[in-house]
Amino acid sequence: MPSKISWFSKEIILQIGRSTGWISLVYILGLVFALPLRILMIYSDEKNRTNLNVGGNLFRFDFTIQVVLFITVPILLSVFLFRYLHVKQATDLVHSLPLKRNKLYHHYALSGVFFLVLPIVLITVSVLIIYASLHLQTYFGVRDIFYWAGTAILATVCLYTAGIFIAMMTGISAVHAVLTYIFLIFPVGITLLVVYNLKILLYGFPSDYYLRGNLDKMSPLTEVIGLEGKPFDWSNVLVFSILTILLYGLSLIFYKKRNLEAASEPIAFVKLRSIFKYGVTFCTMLLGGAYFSETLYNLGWSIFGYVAGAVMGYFVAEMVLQKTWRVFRHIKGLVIYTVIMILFAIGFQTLGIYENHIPKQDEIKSVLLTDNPSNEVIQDHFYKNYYAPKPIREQDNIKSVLKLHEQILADKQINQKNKSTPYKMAFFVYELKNGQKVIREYQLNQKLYDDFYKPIYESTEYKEKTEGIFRVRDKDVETIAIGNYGPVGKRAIIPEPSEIKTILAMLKKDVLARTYEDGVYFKGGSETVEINLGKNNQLSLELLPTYTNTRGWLKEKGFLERATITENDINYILVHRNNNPNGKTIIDENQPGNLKITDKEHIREALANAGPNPGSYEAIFYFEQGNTQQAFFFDEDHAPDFIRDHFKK
Amino acid sequence: MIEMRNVRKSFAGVEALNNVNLTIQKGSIYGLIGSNGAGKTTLMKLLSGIYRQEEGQITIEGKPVFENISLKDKVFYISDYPYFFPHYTTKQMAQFYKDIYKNWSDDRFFKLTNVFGLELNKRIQSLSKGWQRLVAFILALSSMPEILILDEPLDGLDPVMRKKVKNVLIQDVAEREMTIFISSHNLREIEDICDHVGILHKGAIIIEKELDELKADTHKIQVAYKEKVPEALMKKMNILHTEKRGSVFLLIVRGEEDIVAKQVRETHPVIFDLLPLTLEEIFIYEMGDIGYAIKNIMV
Repeated sequence: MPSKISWFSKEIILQIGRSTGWISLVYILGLVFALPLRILMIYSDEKNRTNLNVGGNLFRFDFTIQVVLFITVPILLSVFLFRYLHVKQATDLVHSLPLKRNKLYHHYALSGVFFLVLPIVLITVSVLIIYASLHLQTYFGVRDIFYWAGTAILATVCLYTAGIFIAMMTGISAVHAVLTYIFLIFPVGITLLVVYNLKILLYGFPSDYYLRGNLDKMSPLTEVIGLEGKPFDWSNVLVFSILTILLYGLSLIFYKKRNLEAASEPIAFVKLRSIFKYGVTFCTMLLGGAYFSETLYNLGWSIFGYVAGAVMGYFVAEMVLQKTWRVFRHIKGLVIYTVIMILFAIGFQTLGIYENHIPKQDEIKSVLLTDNPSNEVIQDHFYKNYYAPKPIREQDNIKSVLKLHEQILADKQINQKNKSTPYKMAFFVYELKNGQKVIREYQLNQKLYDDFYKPIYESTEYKEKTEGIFRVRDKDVETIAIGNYGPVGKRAIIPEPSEIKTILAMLKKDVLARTYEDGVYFKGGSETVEINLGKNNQLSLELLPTYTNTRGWLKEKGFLERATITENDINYILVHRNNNPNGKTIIDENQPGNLKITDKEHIREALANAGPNPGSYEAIFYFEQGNTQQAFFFDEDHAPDFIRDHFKK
Repeated sequence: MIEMRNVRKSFAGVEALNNVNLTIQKGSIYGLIGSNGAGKTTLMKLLSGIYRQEEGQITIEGKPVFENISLKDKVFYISDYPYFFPHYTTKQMAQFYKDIYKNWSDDRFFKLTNVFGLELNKRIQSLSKGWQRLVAFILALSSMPEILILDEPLDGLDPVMRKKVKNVLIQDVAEREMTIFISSHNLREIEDICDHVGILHKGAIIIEKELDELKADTHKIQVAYKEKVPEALMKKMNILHTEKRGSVFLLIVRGEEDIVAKQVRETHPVIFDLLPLTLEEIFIYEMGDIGYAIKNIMV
């Protein structure tokens, strides 16, 4: 009977079908709701038929249903298929048969692939039929249908092989499912944990810089969850294919190495058990530390977080391995682990090389200083061209930056403690002459560093490298809009090229003349200049009260009155001493001691000096128009004399 | 011939079998006795190619068993709790085995199911424990194995069924020279079918013997004399054990039956009986020092 020697065993396939076919059935049902039915439903609603337009991405039809199916069905299937490795009696039966593990593996694994692919194929066919019969060409193309099918197949098969791989590593089905998800999310999770913790341990570690890349690229699971938003391109295809093949092959290798008595053991390979135990301990330690440091900024609590995390992780891992919760006597491993970690932490602290390393002036080619490290991430072409700051190169400026950096290092204790005060980022990227980069990131209270920031921020080079206005070419500008986004909106549009040219020149002059203090004091105001560069791209900058050249010209041309708040818009102003340095208080109009300003000249002076950020005095501006008001502040330096005099009494 | 040489197997550092040596001749029925946890099941799973030994060789006809398909095709293993695929009927299970085992015989399958009056289309898992075991037997015998490995096979079968199953097994051994490897924690249960017995204790085979040889060699004698027991007789015989019950002496004697009987008759006893020994007694008396251990196993 030669047929019996053949590779293909009908009865095994039949058995697999009988035991796991239902998963495929549920999968098909779910997908029917998400795609063919949904398409028919939208189509039948003539008014909203344009909802069929999903930008060529069929994942957008009921994505929630789709994504839930895509990330659960493959794992569920792998769990049920390879249950024969996890149930002792089934393992014994199957492996006492005259079948090589090779053959068993391919039968089970490939049947699973079939059960995963079949529903997608059926749905694809049904969508194609609907597509042809309802003439849906206007909404999406046949190409889009095949893009959906191909992506769905590759993505689910990849997740499924990850499930198979973990099936070989464990002997308990529940552990199998949980471990598969942990395995899939692990690259993202461990990166986050390590980077966060280095940030806690190393003063100046640029965590945001390292997290700027696309983290979801690191896990197939997050990639699948993102299918609605971004295209699955050829690089994804390559990565998913390689991963699938790799995991499929590795699984077979581990299957052959596996001892079958591992059924009902949480971790099948003895050597992996310690890796699992200390891996879990390490990860939960990092998690605990990161959690308490991020929420409480207190060294004591951070240490508590690390200790609690490690202890919890250790015992949980031990419980899983021993399959009982009574494991609290097994603390030998934990003690050894703790000693190693303490040594490690001490080594980390005493090294200090990383923290104290600042390049020397003569090594530096250029330096980028910014308070927003995410600038590096934004891929948008326009943003890159106009907003992203560029490094500075002038020796004097580099010297100033180094001075600032040295001071930040000297203030390590202060800056690490004061994380809860309003802080700013200081992000340094040094490019050295030898091609290397030194990147550091600190959180600090910028006020403490005013003296250091001033020479840098006031330098012409820094302004030219960071302010978008210096990158605007006159001929690219279509219009300029001056406007106010306060409670009373005002707006004037200037389309005339010659006037545009003048305004740009004036703005550049004013920006260059702006002092550091004014820049900080007036930052966040509601008067802006929007430079329209066409194609919906616009560069906006604030129109500070100190931009006298621009304002003078605007006033001359009559734009100022149309576009900004003037004394004529204000009914009166109510000023009181601000006792809440972080925010706004509600003014009680009748409270004694408050100053009410009604004189137009005083209102004008107040307008020219009021800043949007909390300061010594709070001023509520009451508008003529409507029953509207807006809060401003004065600090001691900017408050007009008549206000200071009033409160001096 | 099945051979195990210096086989060692441990589970996560805990030794289950150490240095096991065992030989089973083709066509024999080998009984493996051992207390709970002695390593019987481990030994059987090693022999069936399910487990992999850490050291030593396990061979059938000189070839290693593990992952050897042509060998495993001739071996059938029934575990202590027979397992069937969920929701499978006897018929479906038979079709499965037919697909897997080259020598499957439909003819035999239907004959056996007829003999035992088994319903083919009932889900196996809905049957009683005894019937499930019977199904396992029928499926095993229908795949015509050369070696049948049975782990505690008679548990849960009623005496009638037990007899029937034993008969079928013996018939197969006689007709097809099938080899049976059978384990039990109870010597009494399998002594009537085994021709070889091995005793497994704490992971090692402590005794391995051919039964006929043992039985022919050891006898229980009850004798009584009017006067004292003749000293000469006691010296002449190879006595393993003496016991006095009233005036009756109970002796366990080693030697050929005829000679022993002749020697005793010559002393003209008042009472003389030559009784057969149970296997259990043979082991306990024969094995002297380790007899104590065996006694414990048998309980």
